[in-house]
Amino acid sequence: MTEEVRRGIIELLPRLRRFAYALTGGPDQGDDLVQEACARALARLEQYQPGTRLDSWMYKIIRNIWLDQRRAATVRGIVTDLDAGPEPAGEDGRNVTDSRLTLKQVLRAMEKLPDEQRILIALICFEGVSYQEAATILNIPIGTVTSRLVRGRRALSAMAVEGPTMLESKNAKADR
Amino acid sequence: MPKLTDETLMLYADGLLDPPDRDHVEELLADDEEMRARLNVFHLTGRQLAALLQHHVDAPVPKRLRDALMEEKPEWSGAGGARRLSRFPNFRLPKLCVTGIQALQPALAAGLAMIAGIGLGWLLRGEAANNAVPLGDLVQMEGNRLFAVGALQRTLETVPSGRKSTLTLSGNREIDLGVKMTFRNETRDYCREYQITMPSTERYVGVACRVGRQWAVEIHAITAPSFSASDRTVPASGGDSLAMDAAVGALVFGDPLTGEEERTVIRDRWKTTNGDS
Repeated sequence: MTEEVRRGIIELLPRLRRFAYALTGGPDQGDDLVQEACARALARLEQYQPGTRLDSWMYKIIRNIWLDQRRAATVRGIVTDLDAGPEPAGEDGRNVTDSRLTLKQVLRAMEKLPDEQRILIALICFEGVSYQEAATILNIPIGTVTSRLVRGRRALSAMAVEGPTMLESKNAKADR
Repeated sequence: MPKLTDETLMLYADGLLDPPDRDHVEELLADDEEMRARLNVFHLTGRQLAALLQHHVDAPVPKRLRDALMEEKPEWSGAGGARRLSRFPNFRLPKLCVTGIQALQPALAAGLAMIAGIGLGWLLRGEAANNAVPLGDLVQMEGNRLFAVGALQRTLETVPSGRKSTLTLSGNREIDLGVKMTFRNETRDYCREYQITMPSTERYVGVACRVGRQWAVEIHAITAPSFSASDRTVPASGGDSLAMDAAVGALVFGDPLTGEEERTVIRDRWKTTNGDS
């Protein structure tokens, strides 16, 4: 079983890296997070139930470690500065969607979102996880998924297009 | 004209409505510019965001990630542990004071440098002796166990993860007491990973578990900067946490509590679901 799970996680690595990148806002931080998650997954293999979705299990581990790190970072006062990181790869340093949002715009806006909204956007919008599966991974009702996602996407759009300051306080209030 | 909720517009944008509902939405959208603008928010932030990181998915997976999965024993055990540490050249194994050591995996326990005598581990050392925090301010020995008292007990009891409280010592010196996360151990007791930061930035980390109405210290460790002035090198980000992760990992049963779960148990004064506290 160990070998099978190990191979399964290796196959998932590209997707796990994207999820972690979306959460942390950087490729290196994302890979650090995935590495930590792999170590934790192997150390707790007995908690994985064969026949259940391995990707969901790994998303959950990544999410838990990330939240732990966020809490620890608050204590330690570590602040991620997106401007200090390398310009995301892509044409002319920009990744432009049809709707003209760039990767940098999106990551900068994600950084300002409440953690649970950020996790949902990373899961559903970046990873294509269904609403129902996201509810299962996060152990919350699907109605909560929908309402948090609406708030998160409204805030993300506004901050990505108009800048981060305008909606930060409004979004924080709405999420309470 | 009826207005659609943002939730309906989001489900439409994500292609999750049934055909009759979808047709109805399209009828309403045709004549409503304001609704189309609201819809655009969800088109902008939909699943096409994945394309922004497609280059990352297509890129080769770094070797270190594959290696992490190929190690036989990825957590603190012999060569596997050493390979993980090799990413942080300045990292030193913390000197841990471990009570209840039987709870730890033998391989883990063997990899930790023990301090003989619990009191020694609690002397917040490395600074001048007159800066040391008296043992009795933070912990007290009862029987063969060490329990949090004073500021440490109050912090563990009331401070949410990610927050800290400050203890002012004589001479206006301050130490910060923070909690990093909350989880339950194998016997379903609540446990909290804490951190104590001295004015010199010297840092202590540990785990205390709630036993009855008290917090029993299970693990206590000093992390970087190291003891002597000549060794004051701070490891790369995350280095010190690897040791604690391994130690804490041996205690954690299930997932750490979410923020909401933690708020609830703090509010309920750590009562468990079966009515114990």
